[in-house]
This record gives sequence, structure tokens and C-alpha cells, in this order.
Amino acid sequence: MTDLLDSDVDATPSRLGEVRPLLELQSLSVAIDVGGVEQPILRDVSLSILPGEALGLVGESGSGKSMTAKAIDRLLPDGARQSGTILFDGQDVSALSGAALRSYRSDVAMIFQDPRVAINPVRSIGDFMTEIMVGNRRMRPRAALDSVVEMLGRVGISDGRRRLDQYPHELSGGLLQRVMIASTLLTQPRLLLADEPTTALDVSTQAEVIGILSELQQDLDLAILFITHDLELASAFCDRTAVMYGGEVLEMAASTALQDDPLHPYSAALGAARPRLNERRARLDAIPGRPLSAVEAPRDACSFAARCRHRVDECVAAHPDLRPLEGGLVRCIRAGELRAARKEVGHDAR
Amino acid sequence: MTRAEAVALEVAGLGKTYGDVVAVDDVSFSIPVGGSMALVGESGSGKTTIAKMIMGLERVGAGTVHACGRDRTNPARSLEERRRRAREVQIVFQDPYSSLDPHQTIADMLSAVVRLHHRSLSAADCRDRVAQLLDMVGLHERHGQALPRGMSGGQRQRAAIARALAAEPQIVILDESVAALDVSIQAQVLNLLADLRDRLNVTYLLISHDLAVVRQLTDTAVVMRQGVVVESGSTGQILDSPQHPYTQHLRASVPGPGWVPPRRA
Repeated sequence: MTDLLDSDVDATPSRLGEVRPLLELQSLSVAIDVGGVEQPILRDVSLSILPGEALGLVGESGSGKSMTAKAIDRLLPDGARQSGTILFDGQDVSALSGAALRSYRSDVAMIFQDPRVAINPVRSIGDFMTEIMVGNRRMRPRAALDSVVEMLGRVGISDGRRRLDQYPHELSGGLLQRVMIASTLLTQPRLLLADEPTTALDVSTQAEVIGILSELQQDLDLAILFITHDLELASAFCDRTAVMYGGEVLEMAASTALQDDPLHPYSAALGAARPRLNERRARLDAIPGRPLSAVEAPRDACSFAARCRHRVDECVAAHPDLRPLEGGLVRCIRAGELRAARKEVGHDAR
Repeated sequence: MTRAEAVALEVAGLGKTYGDVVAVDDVSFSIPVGGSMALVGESGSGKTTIAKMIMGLERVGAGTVHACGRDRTNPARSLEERRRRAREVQIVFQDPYSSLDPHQTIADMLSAVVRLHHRSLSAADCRDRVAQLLDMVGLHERHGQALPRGMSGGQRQRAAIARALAAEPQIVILDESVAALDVSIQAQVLNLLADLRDRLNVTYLLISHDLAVVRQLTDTAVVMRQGVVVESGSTGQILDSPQHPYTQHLRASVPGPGWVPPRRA
């Protein structure tokens, strides 16, 4: 096993160990060509997901979280140059072709933020859902319909047969997102890439969809890469969470630890910037400046340094590595020292 | 402490139907001058329809709307009347990218609004006013020369707030105005909105589904479901001890430490 995996073992001593990760990203970097200049969009991203595990990927605009999912799903834009390795079940995903690639595409499913954009508006729900079964799987249309109705039932749509004749515009956003989820389950995937799957939904519908994903994760032993901008949602749903910024991972930790004891100043600042449900605060601790994309982030300094309240000269002298700390991984040279100071003061200084 | 407060915005028995669909049914509330009220609800609750009726973008179906003591239930009869109403109530939408003209610089946009409402203003005074507006929302003077596409999402939303303030309104409707912003930027804009309220004594009507944002920015709240008010009162009370089952359900749906998604029936 590589060093990378060993460092992940530190992140979850209780669950990893013997189990082989379902998905493993090893130093994944992606660059695209912009006007003849190669610009990075992902930088040295290493993470792993165990079978049946929910891993959160949290970040703001341009952090690279969606691009990570696209790289996994082999949906990178034309001309993108990728280095590093993506392993699925031990196989190099970039090397797959033909039948092996088709089988990979069945194993890995993706759902997007807005189901109205992702589902063909002029086809009925039944057509949309049976297409893959009849087309790729050579199933008889009637048998395909039966399994579609069963899948709709799994996501809480009990009157599935009636829904088959309906069109996307006749369904609410929450219902349509559930149709989207059901459609991805038809190929019996082992990994679900969920890119902001509840961002466009109402709060109570979001809770429903999260509940459904949670059930599917348990019932089908489905691994989920859950991409969101909402740290609290990721913490509530995911076993572990990675925080991304400027195209790289700044922190990876158990979700509860990330919420109670964030190691990277950015993770802490993100948590502190959100208004609270339980109390009104005189002022929110806003982070100055705006999030940097991978293209803008400095290559020879900490990418968050410009906005960090704990910045010292060393932070801009070299690009920090992702290092183990307190069972997690953190890309900050001051993380250990800052944490010790917080513990000494005896209160959470975020 | 108690004194009769001047009312900035008051709607009474407000209603709207589209064909057989009742979008808004008998909604009443009022906001004192300098106050801040949230209209909380999910899709189809009628909250945006209410905002449109207050703005005059949608005809009032039933009931009345008063802003700054003047009746605006019926459409404006004259250009003068329309402009006066614009000086009373302004709106900031969720997505500044679609609500800003892509071909107009921010400074041009602001000066157009300033001139519309102060037609006797000299060119120099207008420039000063635009610079003041940019400064007020935390934008640099160079942002004035930028087009919306050259700005970040947070900067665009600041520009949209500046445009609303350019008319010197007494009431600003914030229609999901911080919902599309990144977390770190959302905090900046929420702080800005709180500062502006302190400084200008402007009245806010916040339309939002985000209960944490509602807590941070408003004093009172009205919770709506399917066009009907289910609960209203002080924001703190509604969030701390929601009385209506729907409000309780909304509150329980918000993720937080130890949260378990309510299981479906």
C-alpha cells in the first residue's frame, strides 16, 4: 500500500484497516488549457471512499469539488490534462475502455444539483427511466417498467406506475430529484456521486432526500461522494468530510471532528461564518476577500494565506503539505500550534 | 419603551388567485419604520407573489397594500406616481447576474437610477453620489467601471444592493438575496445589510427559506404555507418555540449538530 493510503488510515483508524477502498484518488491533478497557458483546476487531490461509506466534499465556488466528481466520472472537458491515479476497486479508471468502461459507468452513478437540467423535458418519466434498461441492458420494455416502478418505490414514490406517463414539468423539484436518484439506481451502482443534490430543493424536501440517500446507503451498501457547500449538512450526513479550497484538499477529518474541532483555519472560518439557527450574533465572522479558484491560488504559498487571520511569514514561503494531525489530515503549518493554543485557552477560539 | 411606532409597510387581507389556484389567501402584516420582517416559506407558499404585489409587478387580487402611509393597492396612474413608489420600495433579487444589465457598467447603472430620481442633479454631484453608493456597499471605485461579468457573485450582489439604495428607498425587499452566495461571502453581505439598516434606518422585508439567515437579519417573521399564514410573531420566539406543526417541521428539517433527517412517512 502507498503512503497516501497509510495517511488515510490515520483519518479513520476504526473503519479502515483491512477493507480495501472502493475508490481511491492518488495525487490527482487536472489542468486545462486556457488561451495556450496550462491552468490547474485540481491540485494533488488524494482521498478514498470505503464501500458503503459517505464521504463529504465541502467547498465554495471554484474549490474544485465538482471537478473532482467529473474526473472520477471521466467527464472532464476536452483537452484536460490529468495526472495522478483514480483507482476503482483497484483498477485504474483512466485505462478503462470498451466493456470495462461500460461496466464502470454502471458501477458509478452521478446525480446533479438541478434535475430539471439533467432530465430530458420532452420525454416521459417512463421513457427516461427505461431507456438505459431497454437500450443497454436489452431488457424487455415490460420487465424494465417493473423494475423502474420498484426503484421509484425505493425512493418513496409509491404511485410509480402513474408517474411513468408524466413529464418532468408535471413533477415538483423534490419529486423529480427522487426520480433522478431512482434512475441512477437502475444499474445497481456501488458509488453515487452526488453533486449538490439538495441545493435547489426546499428545506423540508432536502431533509426528505437526505433521508432517502441515507437509507439507500445502508440498505444497498452504497458508497456516496456527497458534494456540498454546506458544512453542517455534510457533517450531518457523512462519515468523513474533506474541505476543498483552490483546487486542493485543505482538511480531511471525521465529520464530527470537523464540526467540533476543525484543524484548518479555513474550515474553522467557514463554520464560524454561517449564521446560527439558535442565536443571533451581533456580527458574523465573515472571511475577508473572496474564495480563490485553483487558477488564482498561489502555487508556492498556502492557498488560503491571503484571507487567513493566523497568517505568518512562513505561510507564504512555501506550499504546505497535507499532514496527519489528531486523526485527520490538514494542510496548514500552524494547525498543531493553533490547536494547542485553543486547548490551552480552554475555549474554541474559532 | 413602548411607543406608537410609525408603520413603513402594511398589507391587509392580501389575496391573489391564478385561475382556480389560490396563490395568496388573506395575508396581513405590518413592519414598523426601520424594522425587519421575514416572510418564511417554501416553493408555492406565495411569498414571492406577495413581494410582486407590493412592488406593483403583479396586480393585487384582494386586500390592500400601504407603504410609507400611502395606498399602493392599485397600479400607478402616472409616471410621477410610479417614480414616487420606486422611491418608497426597492427590491434585491436572488441572482444578481440575471437582474443586472450585462452591457452596462455598474457606475452607469447607478447614475441612471440617481438621475431618474434627482433630475436636477449636476453631473459632478451625480458622480459623487455614485461613488458614495459604491463605498456604502463596500465596492471600490474601479468596480464602477466593471461590467457584471467582470465581477464575482458577491460583488454583483453588492452592486444590486447599491442599485436598490440609489433610489433612497424607505423599504427594501430582499428576495432570497443572500441564498446564492458562497458561505464566506454570504456572511459579508449579511453584515453589510445589518450595517445599512443601522445607518439608513431602512426597513427590510426579507423573503427567505433559510431559517439561520432569518434569525440573523430580522426581528419578526411570518411563516407561510400554500398561500396562508400559519404562524407569525417575533423571530426569536418562532424559531425557539415554533407553535404550528409546519413551523416545527421546517425547524426540524434544518441540518445541525446531531441532526437526523426526519424519516419519511
